[in-house]
Parts: sequence; structure tokens; C-alpha cells
Amino acid sequence: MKIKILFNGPVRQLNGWKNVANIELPDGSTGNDLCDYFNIIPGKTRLYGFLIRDGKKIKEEEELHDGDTIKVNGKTSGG
Amino acid sequence: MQVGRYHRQEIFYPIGKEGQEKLAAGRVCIIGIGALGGSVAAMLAQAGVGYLRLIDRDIVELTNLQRQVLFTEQDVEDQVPKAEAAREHLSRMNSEIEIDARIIDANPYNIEKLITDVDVVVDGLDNLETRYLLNEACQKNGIKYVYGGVVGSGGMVMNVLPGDGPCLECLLGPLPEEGSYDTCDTVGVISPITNIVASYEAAEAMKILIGSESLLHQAISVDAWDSYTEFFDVDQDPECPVCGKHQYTRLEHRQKTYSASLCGHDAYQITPEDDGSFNYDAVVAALEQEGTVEKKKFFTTFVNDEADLKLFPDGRAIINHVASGEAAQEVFAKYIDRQER
Repeated sequence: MKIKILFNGPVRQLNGWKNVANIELPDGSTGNDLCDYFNIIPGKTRLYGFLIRDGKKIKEEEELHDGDTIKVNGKTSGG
Repeated sequence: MQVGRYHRQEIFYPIGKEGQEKLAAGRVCIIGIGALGGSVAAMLAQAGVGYLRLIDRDIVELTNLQRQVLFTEQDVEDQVPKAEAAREHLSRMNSEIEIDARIIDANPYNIEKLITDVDVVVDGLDNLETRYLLNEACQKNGIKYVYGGVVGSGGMVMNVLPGDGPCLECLLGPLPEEGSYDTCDTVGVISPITNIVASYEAAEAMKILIGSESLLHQAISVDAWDSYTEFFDVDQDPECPVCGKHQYTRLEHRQKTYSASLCGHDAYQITPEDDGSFNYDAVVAALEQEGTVEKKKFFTTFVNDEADLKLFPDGRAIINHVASGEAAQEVFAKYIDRQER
């Protein structure tokens, strides 16, 4: 299935400083598989915060669907 | 006809005269008076919020001036604590409001006392550890909390309304391991994003104070460099240890002394338990026997062959040039706590 991934701000580093990635994952893949694709380890990878789909935060365990657009959101720790 | 200071706000329909009166009666605690907290404080002071409590442990530094709107080069030269510098500048901006500046570290011992007599707490913090602690304190005490955070050109905002939606831990998940996330000290930050996020935070605080029905019930992710803004929903997690299970482990994790690394510095801050026994003058007098002491208006510096530290009247100390929290604790025990003497 085809998935479009959006990166904004510092998290673009996780995609070679590009804003968009179009990838293919096997059917039944989850947010964790998407993270694997970009070498992201949730809770460990600097910059990575969580995933957003259709205007809603999703858990990495959730299944993705063909045609999904997923936003990779960062952590904002400063002030 | 002469119109009043708040005329433009009073003719703004969602606020009106009634809303302005509520702002004047409002009590806000802003924790962290840096880029976010300073801008929020300025906006709320201008808006006429009647009581502002400003909490910050740090001293104004040169690198702050690129984005922190309340401070000047003179504050850097005079090594003025941020809370005090902010109080001075804000009181010239609006002398009609009460500004309560506290030069202290928000920690498990004091955070509940700092927030329980205000209407809303606004986030100006520079680290996740204290944010997670604040989230617990607000949930436990039913205090509304406006979360805001920035790094690089990106930022987020979310209202945390106890009993009415997700909390910070629902949004960000478990606290990441120390050093596993980037900060303003590692990837930088630009002032447009701090002002955008601070503006959202100030607006939400004002809406909370006047009881507006237009409160933000989503989270906002915004990036000033990529010209991107997204509003998104966050579910309350029934398994969330804080708002789901009401476990306040950080709040209850009180040690005799509490150490925290200071981002971007090879320094640790040690905060002792406040049992009322600390005698600032006596400790300074003892330090004078063991090294070079310089008394400043808001703190005292001490240097000898073993230690380089700043001591504050509330008993906390910043230990410079140490590699670990344990090493800082040792210096603190020897020179401040006066153990093993």
C-alpha cells in the first residue's frame, strides 16, 4: 500500500531534510512499521514525538491504510 | 472623550467590559519566564490580568536576548534573575496589576503550593521533566494548564483541562529518557515560533479567565519556518497513569535533595528539601572561610580549588563544572549542607 508521509520543522532531519516522503509498505502495516522504515524508535529517537492521521493523533500500534497521509510530529521540549 | 487603557479590548465583543473585569480579577501562574513565559507575561500584563505569579530559577544570559522579549543587555551585565527582571519591566508596562516574582525552582516540594491558588497555569518551561511534574500537579489539584513548547522552528499548544479531556502525558506519551530528545540548546530556536506559541497560550489563558466557550479543545502543531499549522485531536488515554489512573509518581518522588542538570551548561542545580532550617547568612559566612566569595544582590558566588557554585537565598545551589548529579551532590553536601565536617 502507498503512504504519504509529511515532515515539518526539525523532524525533517528524519527524512534527509525533505518535507515529504511517498513510501510503499506491505498491507497490514502499522505505525511501528512506518517508524521502522525511517529508522525511528519511538521513545528513543531524538526529535520524534508521535504520528497524526486525518487530524488525529494515533498510536504506533494502529494499522495504516492504502492512501493514508501521515504526519510525523516532533517533541517540543523548549520554551 | 478620553478612553481607558483597555478600551480596544472592551469593544472586542467576546471580551467586553464584563470580560475585562474578569481579567482584572484573574490569577495566573507562569512557570518559566524565558521566551514563551516572557512573551505570555507581557501579553497578559498588557491585557490587564490582575495577578501574575512569575516563577523562574535562572539568571538572564546573553544568549537569551535573541528571543526573550523582557530582558536587556543591562540585565545580562547585572546578572539579574529572570523573574526579577521580568517583574521590573512588566511593572513599568502596567503598574495597575500585581506581579509576584519568585526566584525559585519549581520542583516536587513546592509545585502544588505554587499553583493551587491561581485560576490557570501557563507553561513557559524549558524542559520536559518539569512539564510532566506540572502536568501531575495540575491534574491532582484540578487546575487548568495551558501547555506550550517549542524547539527549532516548531511548536505545540494544548489546553489541559482536568476532568475534561487529555493531559500532557496523553499527548506526548511517557517521559522520554534524559538526552533522548532535542532541546533549544541542541538544535536551536527562533523567535517567530516562540512568539506564535506564546500568543496562542496567552489567548487560551485569557479565554479560561473569562469563561469563554471558544476554548481550544484540540492540540496545535505549528512551524514558523515551514509555514505550517495543524489542529488535531488527542484522545484521553484511559491507561494514562496521570489523568486515567491518578498516579502522581513524580510529585511523590521527593528526596532529601533534588538535582537537575541545566541544559547547555556543565552544571547541576541542587535543591534541598525546605524544612525551614536553611540559614543563608550562616552558610555564606562559612563559605568565606574556605574560598573566594562574592555577594550579589540575588545570590552569592563561591570558588575554591574544589568547587565553583552559586548559592541562592532559598537554599538551592548551582554547581558548575561537574560531570554528574552525584558529583554535584557531593559538592553540595560538603559546602552547603555541611555534612561530614
